[in-house]
Amino acid sequence: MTRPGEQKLKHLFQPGKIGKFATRNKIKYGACCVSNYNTRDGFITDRELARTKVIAATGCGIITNQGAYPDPLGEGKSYFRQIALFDDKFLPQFETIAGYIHEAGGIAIQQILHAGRYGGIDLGYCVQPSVVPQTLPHFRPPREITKDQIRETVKQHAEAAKRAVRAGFDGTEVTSFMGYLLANFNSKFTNRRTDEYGGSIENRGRFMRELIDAIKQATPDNPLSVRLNGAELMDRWGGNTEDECLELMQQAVNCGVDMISVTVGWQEAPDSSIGRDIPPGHWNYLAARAKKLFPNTLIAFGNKLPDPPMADDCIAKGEFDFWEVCRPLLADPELVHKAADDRLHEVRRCVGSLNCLSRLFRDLPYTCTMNPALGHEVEPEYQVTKAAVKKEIMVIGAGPAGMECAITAAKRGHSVTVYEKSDRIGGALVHYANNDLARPEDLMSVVRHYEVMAKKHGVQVKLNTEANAKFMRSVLHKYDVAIVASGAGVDREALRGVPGAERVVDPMDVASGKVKAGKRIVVIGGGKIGLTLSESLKRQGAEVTVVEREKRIGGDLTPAFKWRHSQWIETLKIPTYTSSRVGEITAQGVKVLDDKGKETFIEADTVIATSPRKANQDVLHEFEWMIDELHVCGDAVAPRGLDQAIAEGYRLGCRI
Amino acid sequence: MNPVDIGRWQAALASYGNTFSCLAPGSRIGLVAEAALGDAGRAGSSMLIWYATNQGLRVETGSFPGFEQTDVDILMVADDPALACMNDSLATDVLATVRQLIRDGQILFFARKTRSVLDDAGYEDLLEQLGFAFMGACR
Repeated sequence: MTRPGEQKLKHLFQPGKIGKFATRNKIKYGACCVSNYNTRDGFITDRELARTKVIAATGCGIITNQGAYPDPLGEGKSYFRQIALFDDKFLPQFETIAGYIHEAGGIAIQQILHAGRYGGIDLGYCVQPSVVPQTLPHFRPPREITKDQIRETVKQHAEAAKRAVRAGFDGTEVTSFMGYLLANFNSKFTNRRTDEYGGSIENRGRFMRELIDAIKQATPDNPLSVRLNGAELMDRWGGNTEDECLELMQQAVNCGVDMISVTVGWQEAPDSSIGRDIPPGHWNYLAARAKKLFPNTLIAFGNKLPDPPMADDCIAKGEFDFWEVCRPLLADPELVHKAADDRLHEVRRCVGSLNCLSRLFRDLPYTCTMNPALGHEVEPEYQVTKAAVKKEIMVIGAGPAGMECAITAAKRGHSVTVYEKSDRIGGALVHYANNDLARPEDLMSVVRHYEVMAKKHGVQVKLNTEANAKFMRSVLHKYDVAIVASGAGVDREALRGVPGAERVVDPMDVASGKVKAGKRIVVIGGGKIGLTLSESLKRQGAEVTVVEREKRIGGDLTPAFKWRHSQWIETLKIPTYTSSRVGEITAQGVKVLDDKGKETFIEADTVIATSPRKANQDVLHEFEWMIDELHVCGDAVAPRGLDQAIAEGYRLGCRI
Repeated sequence: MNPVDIGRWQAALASYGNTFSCLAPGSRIGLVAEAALGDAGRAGSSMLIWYATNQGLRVETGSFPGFEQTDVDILMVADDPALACMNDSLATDVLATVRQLIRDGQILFFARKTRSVLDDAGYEDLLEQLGFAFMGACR
């Protein structure tokens, strides 16, 4: 029976075909992220298997398993805990994964990933067509790959493909995304060879053609997908233009590849490709161009295309054949099912925080801001199971930590009431989102999600209700458990030594509009709150100066957003005083002292203190002897941010 | 690279004492013109070198031996307008100009050592000042 959403999104949910295999819909789970959950020597772990079971159940017609490196030396290995496929000893776990995918009704594709320029992570060097040094010092110094090594590498890819098919996979995929070996050969930026593998675009594409031929010969009955850049975003550094990218796709088509997955950008590209500052649909034109040129080859696409209705529309217009989706499914593995059931309003959206990528480049397993269970599927503590005893739970604070905890606990059968002193849920996130320079609607989607899910799971939310000791005494007989999720605020105690500190304004009062800031503003603290507010106030026309005690601004930002804020602060011409502290605040302005004692006076009519912050724990101590169980989560433990708020709220909700 | 005024470069970089004082003696930063990069870094082009010594930063010129042979830790490659722009800002704030040019894509910035090795050699502040945060990954 057709589900209601399948009728609405009929192009997306129509059956498809790749090679000889029928797919139940036009959705491909993209292997866009390596999990780093596996052993250092390439074996798939139980953690990975549990995660893959979730991926298999996403409902996608095609599931691409994450990239495995094909060579025993590890020159193709880009991530410390990447999986390997250079030997039969790895096969049992691949067989298990192929089994999961087939059991769930999907077509299983195994990606083979030789990272080239980004490889050799354990070796101290990497191989690429020519010696072009790294622009990102995270990666290893390069060596030029010899012709013998090229032949061996092609052979290793073909053997890995054969192995994948023997493990039960229906097809394979090779990838240039995002600047891996295949891309290194294709691109003028990294391929400066003078032999038959370099120079003209025909020569640069030779490695790719040999790779495709070898894999097609090794696995003639199984489809092959090739991920190719529609845009490298490296052209201003001498890389390929978009037209050259299409020419290379033409070569792949001529070799009889079954699918081209169009991708965008290299790791080292100077421009953003998938961050929150790129609007959804921005890159769709690249897939449309490819589809127009190659009407008889399947085109898959999904970069910065998070919404099923947009994907459905693109397929209807013939812009591509398969919606390739990964990150939105990290955030909500139920996305496809919710779309099929016409429950898109319940989708937990990827907010583009790029926590996943930021962690990978710190050699950590990937996690997701929005999906606290990601990577913990194997751990019972992260499962939402029916509560052994139904409890009456009160949650104090309707920010992300409180709401996450409340909804998770309610899903388990508890009766939950949330008390919030303001007039809406979302806590500080609402105000932070409204001042965000990237895409406020992304962060606001978190708040909307909580509104929808609280209603769905019967969480009572009592707004405009402050939970103080007096209030607690009036309700404590009703509850078994109290959760304090009251967030964090300015640490006024820490500012007491500063003459005039009583003049400082709370950033949330300014962000919410409760306090109107003047025209000349000093913001104390160059962390994410201080920078976000400064950028917003500057855009509204104020003169803003940031004063930061540390050597640099943005110390609490993830790498993905550190450069964005640095850029915004520079573009907006916001002066920053680092290694500096506030010496005195007067009606005229702020006296700032740097670490060498140099004094500067900045005229200001408003001084906003975003730092130091402290956890709001006053009620915690008052409630200690009032209730059976008392817990605390989120910024009320220690001021941090959204990732930790959601993760802790969820874990606590699973545990109570 | 066109002939450069070593004295002006020396004076310009000397004004950033703190930024370079952490660099381990022997650390070297090279600057070449984009034209030198044809054919994988053609040997023989001129390279401006910022060289950390026990006595401070020394500016000198040398020959760019190509990507494979060069022994600088960091290599900056600038197009002609960028070189002109740097030259014009030697009397004011050349590192701020370099930072802007890197961000604009007019200077390509190559690291020939890994981040941890560079940090150990005292490059942390310089990388920050040159706008390392703007370069790649997590985009």
